[in-house]
Amino acid sequence: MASPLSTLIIKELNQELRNKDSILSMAVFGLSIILIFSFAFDMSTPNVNSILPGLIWLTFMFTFIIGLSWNFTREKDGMGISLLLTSPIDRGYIFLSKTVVFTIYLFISQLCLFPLFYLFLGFTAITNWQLWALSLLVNWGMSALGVVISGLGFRSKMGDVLTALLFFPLASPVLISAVKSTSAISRGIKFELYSFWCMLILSFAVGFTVLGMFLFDYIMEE
Amino acid sequence: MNDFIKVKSNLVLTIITILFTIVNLWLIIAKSPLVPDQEWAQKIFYYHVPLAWNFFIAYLIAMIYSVKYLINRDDYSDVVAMVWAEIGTIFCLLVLITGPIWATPIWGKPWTWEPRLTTTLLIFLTYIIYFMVREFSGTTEQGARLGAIISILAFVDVPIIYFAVDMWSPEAQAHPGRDTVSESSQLIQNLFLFSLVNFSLILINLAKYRIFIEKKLRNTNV
Repeated sequence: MASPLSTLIIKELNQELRNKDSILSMAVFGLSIILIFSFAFDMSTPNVNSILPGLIWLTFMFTFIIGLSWNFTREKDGMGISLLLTSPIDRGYIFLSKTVVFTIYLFISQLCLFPLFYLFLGFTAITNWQLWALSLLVNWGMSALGVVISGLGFRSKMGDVLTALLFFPLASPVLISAVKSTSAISRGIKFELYSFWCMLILSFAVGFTVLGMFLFDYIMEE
Repeated sequence: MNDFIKVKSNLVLTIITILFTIVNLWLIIAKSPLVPDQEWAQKIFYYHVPLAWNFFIAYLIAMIYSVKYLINRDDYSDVVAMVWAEIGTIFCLLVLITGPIWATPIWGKPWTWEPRLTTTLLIFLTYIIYFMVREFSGTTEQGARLGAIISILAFVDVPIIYFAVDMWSPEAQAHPGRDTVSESSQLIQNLFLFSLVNFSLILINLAKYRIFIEKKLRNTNV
């Protein structure tokens, strides 16, 4: 018999496969941001590599917020989350399933957007496997935090405004670490020299996952 | 205020706090030595560092009582968590004001985007959002619950602020290190300790007074 967690993950993925709206909106929004960045900044200057990691992770953060708010809006409109909450499932599983699927969604959007960063902005580190491993780690951290905050927005009168307001300050340690690590990877620096930042992201990811499992039950109360 | 100081312990604490504050001010102005290169600007540290220590403590207590509120749902825990968050935020604001007063003559500018300043500003912003959520939530209970969750999440930033001077490379730092006080002369250490006790007394007194008022406002028997 399937575990509640795998059932919920399959439910989320099936929902996305039917509509393809979260990933599609994330990818298209990401593309728009890349285009805006390429107009807004002079990409021909020699020091462009020093700002590229920041632009990359800002883009993924914006796309993540779009995907997240769309997912919760869909759940709200379709009464999906209300039905889930009345079912005899530990709410921690609902949190975990959303964290897992958003890690996957973000990774899929990165599969689409990283080649565009190479194409439009000349980001060559996309062939480095360490970048992809880092992306998975950052996605996990952002998703765990993002799902908790979206839950808060879902229950608060402030809605998506609260999600956007809270996400950026609280996610900044993950963003800073991601930017530092990406910058090190793009310059071909040894893992030992930037492993501290990866450990910081890992600590955040584990910390927010544990906090999320503990807090989600309280967040989702009527 | 009259009702507050009618209680003997509150009156004693208030008098001790006022005496400590007057003596502390006199010690800082008249007795603390002038540090070479910094002259009078350094004296703001007898306010700045104790304020920073005390806002950490205030946020720690706010976080502990937020957890307690989520578990027990008692009004008292909510009042205490909110009051310590309020006072912590005032102290945090004072840290953000006293920092630039020192930085203007020393760095030549009031603000730089260095790690400890940035992370302190982030926790201040997060607590501003905490109060917005409490204020704009549909019901008092919902505001208290969502606020408690934000308070727990925001506390993650406190160890980052404290260890920021160790985490980032020296080139990224502008802040004096964590061992600045312990490396100073015995006189400076004693004066600093006195100031720390003084600000802790102010913190406790303000919290007691605010809890007293909040209890009256809510008209409960907590």
